[in-house]
Amino acid sequence: MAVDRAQVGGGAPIFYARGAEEQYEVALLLAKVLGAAVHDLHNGVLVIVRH
Amino acid sequence: MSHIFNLVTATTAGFLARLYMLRRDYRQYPSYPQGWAIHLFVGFIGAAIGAVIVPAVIEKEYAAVSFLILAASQFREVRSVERDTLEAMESTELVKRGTAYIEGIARVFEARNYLAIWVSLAVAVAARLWPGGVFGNLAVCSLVGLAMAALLSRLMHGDRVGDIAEVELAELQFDQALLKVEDTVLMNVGLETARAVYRERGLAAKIIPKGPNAKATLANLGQMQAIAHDVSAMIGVYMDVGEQEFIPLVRRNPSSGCLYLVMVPSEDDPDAFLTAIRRVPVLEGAVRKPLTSVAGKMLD
Repeated sequence: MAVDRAQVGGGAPIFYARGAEEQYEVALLLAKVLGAAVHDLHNGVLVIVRH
Repeated sequence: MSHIFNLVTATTAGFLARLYMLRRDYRQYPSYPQGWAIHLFVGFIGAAIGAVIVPAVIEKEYAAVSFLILAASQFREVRSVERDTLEAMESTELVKRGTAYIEGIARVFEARNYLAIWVSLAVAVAARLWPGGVFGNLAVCSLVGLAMAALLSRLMHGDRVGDIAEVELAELQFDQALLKVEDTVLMNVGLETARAVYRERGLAAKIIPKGPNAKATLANLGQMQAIAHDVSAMIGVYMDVGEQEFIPLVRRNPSSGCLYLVMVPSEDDPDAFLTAIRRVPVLEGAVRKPLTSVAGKMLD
């Protein structure tokens, strides 16, 4: 999950949000759908990982 | 006729010993009546084997003795059956037991049948050697059976975490998304809502090993998982399926060898939390004793 398109790339599915609030909300929804945990990379990017 | 008396008393003693040992481990198998039926029956067979050995030797039926010893090897199956059952149930556990714990439980269940055999064998020998009447004989058999069962279960009794480590409450804190206890990072909790739950209801404990042997034992991954599982089983965990943020975690501080446990219990009771940790069994397969080696002594 990212807001800034320049910060992310690569093979994993990437979701973009329009702001921090939407970013956290979508991250929560995705985590619930996937049964996964949200991790914060402290640079505005959230990764959703199923452990 | 005298053989029948011996057989019945010794088999009963072995069976009762198995029942006594079964009663002590209900925590590993809560609400498991079918399992009880299986283990009591297998314990009964073990007790019968132990009881039959004495008359077989007296009658010089050595072929029978050999067959009985062969029959005892069937109890190895008990271990694999237990392992299979627990592994099959593992996917239904919110907090996994872990393979080391499963192996430990399976081993205990196998060993307890051998203990039943020992008890019934000892009672059969006592019943044969005692020259007195029926009631005196019964009294002696009861005494021998009780003493044997008490001695064996005492010898088989393993340590608990509270025996090898000090357990105290610790403070959990967040450095942005990082959940920390005393500068050891346990995990990255990305969502503010999840962090709020930890701040509000989370509990953390520090498990300080009482020496190099305890330190090496607690470093075992299976032991760490067993602590997480057992504490969750004892005091409940505040989580639902798929909420991976709230899975209880045990992490290790590499420099001190201390373990940190962080979890969100269903009831906020720090005393129950610490007691639960102290009562987690030390897994037989996790025990390490570096102090018995030359190199280990040099480091101490």
